[in-house]
Amino acid sequence: MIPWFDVVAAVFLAGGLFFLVLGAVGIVRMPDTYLRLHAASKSSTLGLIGLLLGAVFHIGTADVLTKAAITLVFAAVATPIGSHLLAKAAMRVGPGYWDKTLQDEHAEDHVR
Amino acid sequence: MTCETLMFTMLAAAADATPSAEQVIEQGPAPGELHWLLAWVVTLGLYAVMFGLALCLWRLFKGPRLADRVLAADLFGWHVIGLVVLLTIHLGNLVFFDAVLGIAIVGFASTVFFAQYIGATGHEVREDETPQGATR
Repeated sequence: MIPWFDVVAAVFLAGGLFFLVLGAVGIVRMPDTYLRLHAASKSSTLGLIGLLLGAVFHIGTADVLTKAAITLVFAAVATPIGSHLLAKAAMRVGPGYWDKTLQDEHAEDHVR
Repeated sequence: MTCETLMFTMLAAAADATPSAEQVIEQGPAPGELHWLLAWVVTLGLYAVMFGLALCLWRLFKGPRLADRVLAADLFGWHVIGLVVLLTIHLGNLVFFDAVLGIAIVGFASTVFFAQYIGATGHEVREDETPQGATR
């Protein structure tokens, strides 16, 4: 393909890798399980977008583009569903908020 | 010709055919090879993803609630997808790229089923933890 597509792929790849590792750092540093859900779902989806765009720009074929598009659509749909279900399940067991939380919006739902 | 002279002849021919670093930067990579910036980013990215894997493993062992561990396992799957993409670019073989969709689907399905297990049983309390949630 065009030679500078590799440079564009390198730029996208660097951005995607940065956000992926940032998600892992966030899941270690956050003090609460709900904050960790925020960090993991958002930044890992962004990292996946960057990585797959980098792969598509480097490998120019149509089947890689199709697979990357399907994976991105699936990740964009599946990650919010998964994190929402995990947060709901964790809330069902107990609140477990970080002690500097400003507001508890589900205070009337905690039956224990 | 003996075997040694044949081998040295082939090695000398290969050394002439391999472009030097200055030639690669001038003329661009050979077809099937990587641009030097892309090769550098892929190598650095492999180390970065391995560091992210170590962080996910730490949260997998440490996380006081089961939801933290399930989240760490899901993020572990996304890091493995990153490794698969990087190795596809590095090795140049497109047969690995189908694993991306498979890992994504299996990771999502396992997260959903684990969330249903947590909500149904509530079995996540450790010895040093009250049922109301984490103590830290």
